[in-house]
Amino acid sequence: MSAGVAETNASATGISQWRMPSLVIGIIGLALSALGYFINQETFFRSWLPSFLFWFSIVAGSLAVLMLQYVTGGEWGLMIRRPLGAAARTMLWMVLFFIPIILGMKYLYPWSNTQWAMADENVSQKLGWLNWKRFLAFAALYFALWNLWAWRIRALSLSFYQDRSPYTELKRRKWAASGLLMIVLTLTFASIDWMMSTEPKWSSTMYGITFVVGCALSALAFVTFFLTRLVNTEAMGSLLKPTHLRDLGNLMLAFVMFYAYTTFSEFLLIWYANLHEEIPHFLVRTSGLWGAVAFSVAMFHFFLPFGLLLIRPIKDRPKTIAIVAVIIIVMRYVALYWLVAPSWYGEHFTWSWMNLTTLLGIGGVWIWAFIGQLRGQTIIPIHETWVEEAIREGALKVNG
Amino acid sequence: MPDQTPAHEIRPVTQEIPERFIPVPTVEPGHTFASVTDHISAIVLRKKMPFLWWVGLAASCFGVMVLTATIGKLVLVGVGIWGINHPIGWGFDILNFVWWIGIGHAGTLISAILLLLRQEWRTSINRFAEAMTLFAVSAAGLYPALHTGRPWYDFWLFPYPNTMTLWPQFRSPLMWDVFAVSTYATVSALFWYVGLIPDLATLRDRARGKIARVIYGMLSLGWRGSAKHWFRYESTYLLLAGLSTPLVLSVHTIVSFDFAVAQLPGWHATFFPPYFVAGAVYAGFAMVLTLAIPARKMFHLEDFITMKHLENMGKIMLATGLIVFYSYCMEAFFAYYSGNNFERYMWINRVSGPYWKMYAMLIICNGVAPQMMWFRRMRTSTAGLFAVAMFVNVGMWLERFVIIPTSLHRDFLPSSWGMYHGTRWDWGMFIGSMGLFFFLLFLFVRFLPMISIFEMRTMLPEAQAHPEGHEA
Repeated sequence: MSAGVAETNASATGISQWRMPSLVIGIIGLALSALGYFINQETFFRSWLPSFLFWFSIVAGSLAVLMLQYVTGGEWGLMIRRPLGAAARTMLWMVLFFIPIILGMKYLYPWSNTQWAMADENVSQKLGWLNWKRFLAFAALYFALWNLWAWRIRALSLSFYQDRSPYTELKRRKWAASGLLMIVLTLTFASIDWMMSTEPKWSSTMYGITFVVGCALSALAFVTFFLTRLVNTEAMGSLLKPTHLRDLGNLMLAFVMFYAYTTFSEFLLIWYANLHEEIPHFLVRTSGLWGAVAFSVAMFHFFLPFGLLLIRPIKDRPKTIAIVAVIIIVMRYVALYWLVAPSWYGEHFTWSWMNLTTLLGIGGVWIWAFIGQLRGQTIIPIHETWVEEAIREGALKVNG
Repeated sequence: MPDQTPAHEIRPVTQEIPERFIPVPTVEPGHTFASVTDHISAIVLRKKMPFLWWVGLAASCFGVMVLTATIGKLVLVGVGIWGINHPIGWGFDILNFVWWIGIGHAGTLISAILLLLRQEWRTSINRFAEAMTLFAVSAAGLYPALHTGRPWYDFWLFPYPNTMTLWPQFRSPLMWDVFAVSTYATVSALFWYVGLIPDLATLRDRARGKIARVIYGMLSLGWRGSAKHWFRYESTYLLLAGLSTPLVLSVHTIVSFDFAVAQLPGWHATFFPPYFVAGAVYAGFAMVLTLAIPARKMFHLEDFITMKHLENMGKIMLATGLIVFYSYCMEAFFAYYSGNNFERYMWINRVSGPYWKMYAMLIICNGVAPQMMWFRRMRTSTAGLFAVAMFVNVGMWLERFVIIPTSLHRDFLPSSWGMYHGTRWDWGMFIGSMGLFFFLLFLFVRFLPMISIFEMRTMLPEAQAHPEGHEA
């Protein structure tokens, strides 16, 4: 007998059981990272930033994809609206995880050393942007806007469930449309502030676009993986169809290609022009072990998932698409690390155990918060007009 | 604190849906398979062309004559008749090439990408847009071919074994253009033609004159509408859609490389590829609207090109317009953030240099005007849409002007600075290429069905009577 949509309640799907173990892993990770802080502050902060960016990209990407879903509609969002919304509302936790970045600015951003910045011919020209006051004020603004949109959309969804007014739905769509504009702009400038300015003399106009696309890819890979974890539960097993996973697989394919397109174009144009102010960025990132990392990004962030996602049976099966999603998730971290870490370490590939502890620390707490946001909700948005229509037409059931 | 979703009761259908939320159909009600076929094929086979069509054909024919005269002069005298000179070696020729190629993007985007995305509303505009693509690419192709100065040697651009041991310079994006544009033109033409075959057969069957029957019969390649024909047709069409999709993106990406591989401020920007692609889609949709709105009125096609189509195109124009405007903002920001004096001067010169009016008009046309599309009232008004589309057409031309001559006219060495103005031959060529484009378009609407007849039939409720899994 098939289950009904009401039985896709988060607790019925069994995801709540992952909550406490995640929190424990998170606390252990954070405790070990705190220990690392006392051993080597510089390594601690330089491990924290890539780990933060990795989890942040899932959260920000979730908000962006959620708003895209509200603007465009479409069945591809049926299974992922709720997980995306839950992930987007954990943005408040990201504010907390951003604090170490503020504390470690001197280790992360060379321009925060005012003396050095003023003496440098290039950096001294842009101190109006590269200064800690603006950096903090803008970070506060970004977080305020992201949280505002994440919660406003949630509030509008809740009022829609109450009043069922198409005007409320329209209002939510308008917020989502303006939110897309907001998030593309803020993520662009956040990527410039938090990532690109680790290398203050270098700039590339493609950087923000690549980051936005990467965030969306992280979010899609995460929610796909999340859904595949639910497929073995009685509640979701009968409702999650191969077509749902195929749609997500196609979306991941599109974003995998888009990411490759932006990064390859950026590389090609900088390599071709070979300007002394631009080329060092890639010279460092393609030398020694960084070169091997770059190769792995090309192989496993693009070629492998691209090839796999072209095959329909791989997209349709939860087990196989979960593997592709994991490959993408892992490579998202590798790609982010490859983008920021060489700015500090130059040609010498560096990796510390603190990279792992910060990743697990932030991730454990974040997953705990994410599942917390899903509590009390069904995975399928039961009150949306089209889900109700499907129930009325008999395509879906409320209870099994 | 996690918030709780309210209880899971399913509401009864008691609410009355306000008028604005009732979906606009993709085909107005009241049509049957026969009426759709009659209405569209009659434009080609039965009806006399409206007076405005004759006026348009005559005007565009005049444009073709201007083009012929301009090309004749160019072949006799050389590219010296154009305004290009030191320091601007690329002027209207490359500018208009990029403008036309951009316009040529919407057709394949509508046909291929929207087909793959299962967007049914594309059906009534795809044929028209594909034709527009072909004619725009034809107009675009004139410019680089003539810019070589000796177009009779243009075949040297292709790699072929020859006694002169000539080989193309494959490191140049201009060479990549040759292959990108010619491949795009070939696949677009194939895609368009394959899509036409079932309709050509309909025209063959309905034509009264013998000549028309023979010509449409030959063009329809023996189509009989058998199950095997349909199966092969669907497979080919999907395959061509799959082929066209990367081509749409690659063409304007490579066009952007023409500029971005250079070291010139204003040209060398890594975001040029997606910026150019978005700009091309933006320009393409604006041109589709520019043509579809009058054509819809002239041939009474309001039942098939409904407000839903126009509104959706308005939305795509807004989305791509915002990407284009984002690019202008990034250009300004990175001019500052680069910390490079030349980059900064490039932007200051654009805004306040001798061509500042062009930049100001660009921002009005491409930045401000499309914001009207946020308002539903504007998106559902043909006059509003047409006005915004015209702004975008002009804006996209200005954008290429701002990128090309404005970046070139003041580069690193002040002693080599100069100004650029198109000569009457430049303008003649531009007007002439527009003449060619419209001339071909007027002939197209006269001799071929501008809306896909068989695809429109599939949009009717009768065609949806037995959806998958609900066999009667």
